[in-house]
Amino acid sequence: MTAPRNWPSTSGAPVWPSIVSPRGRQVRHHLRHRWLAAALLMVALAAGCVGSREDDRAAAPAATGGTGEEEGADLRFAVFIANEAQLEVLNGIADDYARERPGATVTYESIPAEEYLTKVLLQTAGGNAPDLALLLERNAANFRDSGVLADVAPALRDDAEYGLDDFPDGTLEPWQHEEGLYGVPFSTSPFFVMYNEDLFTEAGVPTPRELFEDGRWNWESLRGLAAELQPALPQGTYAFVNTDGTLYDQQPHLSLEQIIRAYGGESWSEAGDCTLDEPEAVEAITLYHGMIFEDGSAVPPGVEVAFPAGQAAMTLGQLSRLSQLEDADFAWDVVPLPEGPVGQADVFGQAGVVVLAGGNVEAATDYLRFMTNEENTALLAQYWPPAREAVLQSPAFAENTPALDAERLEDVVVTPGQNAQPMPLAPAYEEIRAQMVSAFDELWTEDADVAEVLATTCEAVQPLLTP
Amino acid sequence: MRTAYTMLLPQLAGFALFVVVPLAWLVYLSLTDYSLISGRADFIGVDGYRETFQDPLFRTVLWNTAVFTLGMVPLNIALALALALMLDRSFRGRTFFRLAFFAPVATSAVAWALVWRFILQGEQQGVLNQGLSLVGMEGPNWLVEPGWAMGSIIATRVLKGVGINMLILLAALQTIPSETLEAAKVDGATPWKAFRHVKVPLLAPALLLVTVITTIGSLQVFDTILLMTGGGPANSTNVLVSYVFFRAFRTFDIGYASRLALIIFVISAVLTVLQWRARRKLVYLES
Repeated sequence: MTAPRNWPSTSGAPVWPSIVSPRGRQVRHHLRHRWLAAALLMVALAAGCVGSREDDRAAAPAATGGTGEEEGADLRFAVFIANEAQLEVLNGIADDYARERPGATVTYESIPAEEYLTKVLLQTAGGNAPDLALLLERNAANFRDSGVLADVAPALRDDAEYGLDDFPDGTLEPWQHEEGLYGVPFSTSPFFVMYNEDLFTEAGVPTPRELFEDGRWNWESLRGLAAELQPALPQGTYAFVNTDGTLYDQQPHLSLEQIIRAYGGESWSEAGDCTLDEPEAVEAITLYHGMIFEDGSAVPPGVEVAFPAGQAAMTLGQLSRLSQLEDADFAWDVVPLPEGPVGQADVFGQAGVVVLAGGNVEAATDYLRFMTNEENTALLAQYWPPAREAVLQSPAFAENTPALDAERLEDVVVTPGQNAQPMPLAPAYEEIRAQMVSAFDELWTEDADVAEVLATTCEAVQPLLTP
Repeated sequence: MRTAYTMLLPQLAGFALFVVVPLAWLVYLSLTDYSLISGRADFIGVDGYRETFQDPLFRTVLWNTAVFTLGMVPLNIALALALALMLDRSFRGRTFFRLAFFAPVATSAVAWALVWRFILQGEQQGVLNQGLSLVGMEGPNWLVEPGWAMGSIIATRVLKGVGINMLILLAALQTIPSETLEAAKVDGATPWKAFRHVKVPLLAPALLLVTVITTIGSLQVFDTILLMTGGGPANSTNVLVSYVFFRAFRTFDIGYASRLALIIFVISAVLTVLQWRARRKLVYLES
C-alpha cells in the first residue's frame, strides 16, 4: 500500500499540500498580480521613509534676510518642564512675542527629563532639530565643543537695551567660551537646606533656623544637630538625605560640592586639575562619610528615602524642589547652606536657553533676546530664579514667588545669588560623572580610607579633564 | 512552489527591512566614531575595535556578562526541571502551584524590578532584611555590596523566568509515555536511575530548547539591571547590554555602542551554533 501523497515522508522533509483549484492557472495569475502589488507597496514605503528625511534636512538651514523682518518664523523650543502652571507662563511669553512679530509662533515641546538630552540629540541627528532648547549648565561645554550650539554673543553683546552686563560674571561662566556666548541663563538657582520642622519640634531639638539666626549654622553644627535628632526619629526616617537621593548612583556633585566648597576646596579647578584629593575636599567628604557611617544620621546607599514624603528631616534643595512640598503634610522651612571654615560658599545649579545650530538660528536668537530680556525675566522669576541683578534685587521678585515669602526668598535665593558659583564644569562632564560614581562606590563603605579613594578617583578622572 | 515563496515574501521583506538593513548599518556604524552630539561619523575602521578591546571597563563588562549567564542559566534550568518534576505528579493544589510559579513570567519586568529593589533595601528598610532579622540573621546591603549585587540580580531574574521554562519542561514530561516509566520500574530502576536514564534523554529536545532560549535571553537582560543597580556598585553588575545603553545614551558614543552591540550579536550567534551542534551528541530523538 502506498502512502498518500501528502503524508510526511520518511526523510523528514515537510511536504506542502499543493494548491489545486478548479481554476488552476487562473488562480496563480491572480496571485502574481498581488505579489507585484505587495512588492511595489514595500518599495513605495521605503522610498517614502528615505524621502521625508531628505526633505527635513533641506528645510533645516538658518534663516536668510536682514533684521527688522515683519514676518515671523515657526520656532520649536524643547523644554524639560511639565508643570502646567509653569508652561502657562512660558506660553504667555510666546503669545506676547507673536503680537510683536506677526506670523511668528513659538511652540514649547515638553520632553520628560530622563530622555530629554537623548530626544533632542536624536531630533538633531535626524535633521529635525528644535530651534531653541533648555540645557543644564553641566552639559553646555560638551554641546558647545561639538558644535551643536549657536553663538549668540554678536546679537546680544552690542544690544544696549538687552543689557548683557546685568548678568553677574559667575552666572554666565558656563555659557561663555573665549569670545563667544553659547547660552543665556534661564534659571540660576542657589542651593539651600530644606527641613521638616515637625520632626525637630517633636523631638525637642533646635531647628536649623534657630541655629542660623544665632549665627551658629555651619556643617559641624549641622552634623551635631543630625546626630542629636537621629535617635529620636522613627525607624526608617533619617536626619539627613542627600539631594534628590542622587548621591550614590547619579549625581555626586549635587550633594557633595556644597560641603567641599564650604571647606575651601572644589572638585576640579578651572584649569582642569582634579582637586578632590586635596586636604580641603578630603576633610569635607570625611565629614559626610562620618554622618553616614559613624552617626547613622545620613541615608546610606541602597536605602530609598524621600524628603517630600516626610522620611527625612533635612536635605539640600533648590527653589524648584519646593513645588514638591505643596501637598506635604508637614511644616517645612528653609535656611541657607551652612558655613564652613572659609565662610559662606554658595553654589548654584543652572539651566540656560540655547539656540541650536541646526535650527532657524536667526529667528531663534531673536526669540532668545525677547524671552530673556528684563521684562520677561521678571515674569519667569515666579518659578525660576533670575540671574539678572536688576530682577533679583527688585521688590517685585520678592513678592511674586509662590513658593516662598519675601524674607525667606531674600535669605536663600537673593543673597546667595549674588556670590554663588557654578557647579563643576567640563566638556567631558558625563564621562567624569560616571567615573566618579563608579570610583565612589569604594568610598561608601564603613571602613573606607577617604583620602585613598579620592586619590584613586582623581587618577581615574584626570585624563578626562585634560584630554 | 511559487505560491510558497509568494506567501513568504511579506515576512522576508519585513526581515530585510527591519533586521538585515539595520544590521548592515550597525556594522558600518561600528567602524566609525559616530557621536550623537557632534553628529560627525568619521570612518576609523579597526582602530575602534582596538580601542574597545583595550578599554578596561570593556573587560570588566565582558566578565560580568559571563558570570551572569553562567550563573543564571544553569540555576534557571535546574530549578525549572525540579519544579516540573514535582508538579508532574498529581496532588491537590497542583494547579495553584503551577499558576503561582508561572505568575512572575506574566508580570511586568519593570514592576518586578522595582518591587524587588524595594524588598532588597539595606539596613532594616528592606522586607528581606527585616525577615532575616526575625530569625536572628543580619542581611547584607543586597544591591550595594559588589558580590551580593550580582547575586541578587541573578536570583531576581531566575525567579522571574523560571516559570516559562518549567511550563515547557512540564509539557515535555507529560509526553513521556507511562509505559516506558513502568517498564523501567519493572526492570528494577531506582527513581534516580529512572530520572537519569529515562526521563532526561526523553526530555533532551525540550532541555535543549530551554537552554538556548534562556542563554540568549540572559544576554539581553537590561531592564532589571538598569532599574535595580544602574550597573553599579563599581560596575559590578554592568553587563554588555547595559554598557551599550550607557555608551549610547549617557555619553552619546554611538560608534562605540555599535561595536558593543555587534559583539553581543556575535557572541549570541556563536553560543547558539555551539548549542545547536551539541544536540547531535546529546539529543537522541532528532530524526
